[in-house]
Amino acid sequence: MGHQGKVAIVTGGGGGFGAEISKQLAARGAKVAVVDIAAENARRVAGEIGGAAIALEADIGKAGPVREVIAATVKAFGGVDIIVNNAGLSYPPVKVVDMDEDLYDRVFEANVKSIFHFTKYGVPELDKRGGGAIVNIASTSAVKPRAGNTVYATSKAAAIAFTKSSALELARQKIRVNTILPVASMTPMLTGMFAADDGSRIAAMEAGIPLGRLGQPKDIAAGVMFLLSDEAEFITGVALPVDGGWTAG
Amino acid sequence: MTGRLQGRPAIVTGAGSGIGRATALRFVAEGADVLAADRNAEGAAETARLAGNGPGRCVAVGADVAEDSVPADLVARCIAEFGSPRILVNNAGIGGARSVDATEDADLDRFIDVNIRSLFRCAREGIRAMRAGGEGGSVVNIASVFGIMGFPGSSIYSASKAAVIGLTQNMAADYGPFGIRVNAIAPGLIRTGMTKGRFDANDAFFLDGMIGQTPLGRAAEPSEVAAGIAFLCSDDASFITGHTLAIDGGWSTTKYRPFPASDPG
Repeated sequence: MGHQGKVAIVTGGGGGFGAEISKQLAARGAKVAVVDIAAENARRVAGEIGGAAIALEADIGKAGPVREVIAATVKAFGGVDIIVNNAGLSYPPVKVVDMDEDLYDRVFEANVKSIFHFTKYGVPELDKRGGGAIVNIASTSAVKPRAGNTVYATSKAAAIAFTKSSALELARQKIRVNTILPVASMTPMLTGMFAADDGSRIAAMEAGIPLGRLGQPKDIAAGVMFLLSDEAEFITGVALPVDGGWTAG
Repeated sequence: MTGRLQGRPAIVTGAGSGIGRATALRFVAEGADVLAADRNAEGAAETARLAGNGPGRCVAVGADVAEDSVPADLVARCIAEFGSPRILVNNAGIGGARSVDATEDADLDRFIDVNIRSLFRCAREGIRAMRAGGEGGSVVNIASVFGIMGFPGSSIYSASKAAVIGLTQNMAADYGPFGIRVNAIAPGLIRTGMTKGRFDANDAFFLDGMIGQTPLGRAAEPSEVAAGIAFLCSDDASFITGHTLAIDGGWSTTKYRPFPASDPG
């Protein structure tokens, strides 16, 4: 499942899933642009990878910074073959009636509009290489929601629909678009969401997963590697849960 | 890529041709020891010959999974040859259904026997052995995109494949706690013995409905399905269970039509 000579952009690459995805891509021979809103985290991950990576700071919900990321990647590595839209925004559980409209906008900007921007401005670069692959990270919450997470789940459902629709638009250009649906996983996002909890909510989540544990970044990264590779060359428009069976029953 | 399945005993049914043969060869190339079962003994033997270069081993068995004694026999043979199975691919199945009003009882029973009853019985024996083996395992059931969406003239075939998807989800829930993962594959149009007649006859209705509505615009080779099966059976998919993975060039995503030339795209 090599990615030798490929150039990848990974958003949210400064930690959690994105850091592991960036490292695994580099280990398989890709050049990686590690993008994160927290510049220090992006630099740390890129530094751990070494010469095959650059760190880029960007708010991927905005068109201008996304265009700058793409231009900087092309300048550094000569093109773009792979885009992993991994960056996302979550928040501690809150009911819709108690939620600020501003947070709604920020969640949709980070989780949905970012995919729009990277598709709109990234595809012309993939076209120049004769094709490519995009993986968007959604969530099992889109198909099996929990209370207190309505807007996040809705944004991830939008990401799945965006994936399937854009897969149809781009198939004949040999650009495959797929999405991964992680279940709750051991990442800074999860610990941030439940910082105020005594651990019982996370324990309850774990108990509900047939394989008996939360996800790990390596689980999600392995699924992303497969969908990006030529091993999956006939797979486009799918939503692959990496969830220990959470959505199966 | 070699070594991902190093030393793992595997059973592949319907391994004498098509997706089953490609899967057996892929497994052997990744180091698994494969019991290649097919009711066509010559086909199974040819698969074992093609797998001769290893690094895994391959033993052919001529056996029909629809016969009552066969599932338990296959597991016993796997244990005798290689050890307790850690991988089971329930690939054996039949196609060629007709619409409901044109389906006689004998055809109905045959589809249920081969595509559901025998798959269930193979899964049962495989699960029992995997639980006894104590090392976990991976089961992959071959369903079909017709188990997800309807297609004219595929009535009991579609229904049997939808049942396979349902069974997969239930088994994932039952056996996850034992470290046994259960997933399904939904192949789209693949060039196999099952579809050869449609290609040879240049069946315009079928080919337009499948290739014409496949975003990637082509049929696939069995090796492309085997790659997905190998992924699901490997530790790369260690947190994936209960899922039905479509390998269909996007067919099941929508009723696809290419953009007319006048449209942007």
